Amino acid sequence: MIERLRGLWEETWFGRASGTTIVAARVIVAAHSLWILGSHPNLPSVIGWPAAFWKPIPRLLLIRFGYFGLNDRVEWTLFILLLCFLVAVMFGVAIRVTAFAAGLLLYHFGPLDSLLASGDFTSMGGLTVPTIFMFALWAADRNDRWPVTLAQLFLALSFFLSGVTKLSYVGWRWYTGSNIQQMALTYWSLSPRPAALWLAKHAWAAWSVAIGSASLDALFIVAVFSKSARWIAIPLAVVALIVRSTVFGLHWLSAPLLLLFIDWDFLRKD
Amino acid sequence: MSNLVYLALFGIFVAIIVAIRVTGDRRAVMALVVYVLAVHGALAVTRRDAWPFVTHGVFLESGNEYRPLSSPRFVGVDPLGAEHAIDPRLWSPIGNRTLGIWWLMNSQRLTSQEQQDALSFLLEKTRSSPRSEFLRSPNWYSVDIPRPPLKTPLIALRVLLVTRVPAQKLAGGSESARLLAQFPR
Repeated sequence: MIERLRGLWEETWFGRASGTTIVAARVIVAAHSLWILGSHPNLPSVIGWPAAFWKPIPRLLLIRFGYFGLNDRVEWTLFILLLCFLVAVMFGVAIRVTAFAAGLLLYHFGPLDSLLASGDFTSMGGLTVPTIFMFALWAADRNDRWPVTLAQLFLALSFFLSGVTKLSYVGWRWYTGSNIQQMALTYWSLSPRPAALWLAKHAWAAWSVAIGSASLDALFIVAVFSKSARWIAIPLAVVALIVRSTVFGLHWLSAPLLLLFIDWDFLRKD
Repeated sequence: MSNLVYLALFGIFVAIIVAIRVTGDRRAVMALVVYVLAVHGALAVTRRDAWPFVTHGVFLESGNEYRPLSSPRFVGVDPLGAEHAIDPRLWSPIGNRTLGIWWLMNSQRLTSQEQQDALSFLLEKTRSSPRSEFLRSPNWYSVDIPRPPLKTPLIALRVLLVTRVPAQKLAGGSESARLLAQFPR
């Protein structure tokens, strides 16, 4: 059994990946990043907001992400460079330069739209996995599997640690129908979505959400190591994405990165 | 101080990445995996986030339909004095939640003139057109439903602290709102 687990670990991290797998991962992550950034084409403009907005923001927070001064001309230049680097990564151009530069600039721009809120919830911006993946892509040899596995691990950790924090803050009660019903009602009171009110009034549906959430949080990490587990984990994640969006107004922007769990070798011609 | 620690965590990650590139040693890859797991474990225990290492501490509150819930709301005022909801897309590139948190955390630290400067800027933004949502990623937290553009110009901006009790609101009750600030006064 231990030998088998060791073999699985070995294969997951150090197995050889086909060229198709690596190209697919590169295209998925770069295209996803371009989608997020392209959806906020005026992102650097927030640097030019009046000084009153930036005055209370801790200087160390700004320095941590490379904002040594608030110069919007510099930020616009870096932003355009980032878009160029991501396009280059997507097409596999000069990866040894472009992937590292894209990683650094993603780290710089990833938190920008939440810096005014002291960086809270930067994780929800959808650029966490791309930032990590760009560095891994830069460091890996051509057919190394570990950069893809590392990206999958980061996605899986987002579910697993979400479960850990729910247990830590609320306890097992979080995963009960009554808690989901009350949360749905709370979110309905913020924004009157019909789906939220419907969920709040149907105990069986709330219990389904609770059990589905518990399963997802606990088991998604298995999908990193088991291809057969992906047949359950990925559809469950898609259902969770739809419920969270329609009922609670919380959009999981990293959802397109679930494509990293697909075995793209079926595209190979040989 | 914590920001320096978080920067160091990221710096160590990059250092291991560089070591992998330089040495090509699989032990360095293992060190990276162990490091990533250890950092996430430590963050989960201490209930902190150090982006890009995060525990995704969102959507983890317990529901309580009788607990009052307060949040800031920015509303526009037309020449007749009527209040209008503002399309959250107008705050682009930041989201409604970021703006609300910024106000709650920082407005008390600003001088009266600085508050007016900020609100004046936001009022000006309400006069632009919201961006199209077609094929764009939404804001991650979008509880406010986009509204049709207003036909009347807004001449003032108010910040309200809106409080509601979910169970009471369901029973037909309303929200209460307290004025926090206004531009022009």
